[in-house]
Amino acid sequence: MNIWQTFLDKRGDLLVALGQHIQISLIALVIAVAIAVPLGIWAQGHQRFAQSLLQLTGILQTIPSLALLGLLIPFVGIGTVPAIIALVVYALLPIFQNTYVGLTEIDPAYQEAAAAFGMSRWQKLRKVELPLAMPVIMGGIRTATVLIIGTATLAALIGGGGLGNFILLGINRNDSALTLIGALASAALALLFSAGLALVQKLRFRYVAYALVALVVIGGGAWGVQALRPKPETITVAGKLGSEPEILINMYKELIEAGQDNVKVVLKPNFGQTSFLYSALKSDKIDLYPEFTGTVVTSLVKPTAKQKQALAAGANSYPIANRLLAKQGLVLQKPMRYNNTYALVVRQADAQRYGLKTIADLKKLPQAKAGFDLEFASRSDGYPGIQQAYGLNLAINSLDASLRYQALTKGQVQVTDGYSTDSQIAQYHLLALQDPKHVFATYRGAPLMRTAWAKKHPALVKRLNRLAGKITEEEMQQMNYAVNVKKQSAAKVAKAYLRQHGLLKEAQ
Amino acid sequence: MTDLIEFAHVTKTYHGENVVADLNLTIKAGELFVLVGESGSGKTTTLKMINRLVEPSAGEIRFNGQSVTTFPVRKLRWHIGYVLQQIALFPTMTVGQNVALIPEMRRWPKAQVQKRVNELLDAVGLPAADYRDRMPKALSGGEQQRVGILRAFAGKPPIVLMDEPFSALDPLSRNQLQELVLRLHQELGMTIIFVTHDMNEALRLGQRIGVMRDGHLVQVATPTEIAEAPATAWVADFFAGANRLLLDTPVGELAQYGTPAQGAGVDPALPLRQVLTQITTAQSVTVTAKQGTFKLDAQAIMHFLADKA
Repeated sequence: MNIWQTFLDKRGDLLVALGQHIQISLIALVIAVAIAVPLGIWAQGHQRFAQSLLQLTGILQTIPSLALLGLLIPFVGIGTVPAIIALVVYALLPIFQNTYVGLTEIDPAYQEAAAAFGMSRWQKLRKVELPLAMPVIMGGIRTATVLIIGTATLAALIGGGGLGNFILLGINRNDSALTLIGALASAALALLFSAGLALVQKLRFRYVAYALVALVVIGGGAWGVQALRPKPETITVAGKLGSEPEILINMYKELIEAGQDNVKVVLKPNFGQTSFLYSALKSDKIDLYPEFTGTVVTSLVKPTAKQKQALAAGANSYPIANRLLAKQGLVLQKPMRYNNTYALVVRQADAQRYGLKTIADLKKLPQAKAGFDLEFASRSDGYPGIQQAYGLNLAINSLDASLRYQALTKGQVQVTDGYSTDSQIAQYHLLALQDPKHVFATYRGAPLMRTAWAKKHPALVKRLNRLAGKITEEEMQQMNYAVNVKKQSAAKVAKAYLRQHGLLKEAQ
Repeated sequence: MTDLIEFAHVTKTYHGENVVADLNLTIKAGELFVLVGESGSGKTTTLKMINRLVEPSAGEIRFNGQSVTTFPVRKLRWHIGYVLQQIALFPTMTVGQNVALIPEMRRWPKAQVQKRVNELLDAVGLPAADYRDRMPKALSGGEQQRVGILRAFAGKPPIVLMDEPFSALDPLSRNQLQELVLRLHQELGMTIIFVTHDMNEALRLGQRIGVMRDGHLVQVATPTEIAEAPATAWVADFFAGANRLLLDTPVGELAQYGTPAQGAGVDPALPLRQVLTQITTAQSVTVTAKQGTFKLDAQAIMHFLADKA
């Protein structure tokens, strides 16, 4: 809650918010002036109209700003546009009122003189009336400016950005330093603008006109530069269902955006099943997604008989997977450390008591009862393979996958099948037994992408590969636990891991 | 001299009342013509109908024999200078910009405008080098109206209208500006139509004087003719008011210098000289006039004398 520290941490964000705030406010101010001043001039000859207009703008101003924003959403949606519209509505009254009053209160002698000298309507306005009314008009513009800058903090509520983001974020996170910084910056901005306009007021009308023209030119130029600057490339990263893919794609996003490349990452978590993601990748709908070596060799490519044999003998599936993927124009980057595969899971208490580490140790467990789901119990790389390789003979109950961890913790069974990174393993103090005989295929994760894409983005690929060999089973279990059970956001968990392991820093 | 301005049966009606009634008047080119009358006599309205600040309800006003309505109104006004009682120099412009206004609107070459402005300022004792870039509010009332006159003359108009231009000024400035008007008229020879409520001013400036009362033109004549043969008793009175000795002024006419008071006072018809002793002995004198009772003290008398002298 140290304001100074928060300020130092957030000064980049603050600058961006300040820029947005000034942009929104200035646009709204210019539009309001462009509407209200001519209206105030025109109202000179239309007294009754002027009175009703004053009443109308007065009523508009009494609408609470939040309500006004809410009313606008159905018509103009959310974002900067409705925010600017609301601000313009607010600024109309003071500018219109002061323009009208300023012009009306001009000494009639000046009007008579201007008429008697044969001035045209426009000459009279430009040479006599506007300069005479200018102090009053500028007073209205100053009032409007302070009003706009203050009210613009509400733009954050409808996605308009600006200093309101700080205030809102501060309220959300119960971080009063953030709120204070946003509020102080907005107040300082209002004072600064007001003082600037007071200075402008003292200048001659001509210089004010020059300044306005300069402002428009600079503003237009800045807009032009922005329009001409290359648009950031959008990179779409998708993930399968569940917390683990979501954590991984958030890590990818952080890594991709850690560099200076002009790119924008779009995440599509819980995008679908393997086949869906695979076809989306091949048809360019997405650019990469986390995939597992085991899945590649069993579902996405067709290994030769020889390769199958090698895999069954426990050969590294990664080079085989990549060799076969290359034929399809795809490449799997270097895998992470953990192996997300089938596992036989026991309670830690039992493991300590009976000294269980590997599947072979299950023989030490007396009268072991196993709860397997039907598929695991029957498929060849499931229990039958285990039984053969390790010579086990367990009493088997079939259990639905959703019930197995419950049955295990309640002591109804002593062993069950699962996946090595399941968050329940951490949650219920369980242990996944090792598989030294490699009955279960290895499933090691890595980003899968098109080869062409990888060649086009070598720097991004290099950064993605900082994850190679990182993340143990236990770490993944903990992260899944944090998201599934502790309900932390995947983005936050991903970032925390990368930070903790120094993966976001350039010097490796 | 040829006829420059001609009023033919001109009437102006406001809210059913004739402010100017069936006015017939001819003003010759190069003439300095003064319209004189009390407030509400219709003299200012008459003046403003010439440059169409006021449109007549009936009748016609001719400029060089042509109805003023046949000219585009802005062009007409460019050729008719105008000096206001309120002076009305534009406060956001410098003295020089005020004077240059009409020549610039008429698109004179820039160098010529500058030359004209400098000449004019120098000619009336406001050296251009010193005064041109000042703002009007930095000038005294008399200096401001000097600039006001230059502004009207700058475009070399054949005719200049002056609407009670000196009535708000102090006697000294008024005197100097009257001399200035006479001098400019003599040097430049344009037509000037001058409106005033002050018969002294009218007599001093006018080559011919038109006396107005209640919307009617009572007499049009030279100052000498008015002095010798006033058309009506009222004109004779109005003229006499200008020429009588100040100490013979009835005290009732000093109401604007007095302070409101209570109780019975002296007859308002009493000449000023007869109450002076009372003021020296009793500090003040109370006057019971039609419009109310008021008190005069030595200071009030001094103010009156300073104004009229």
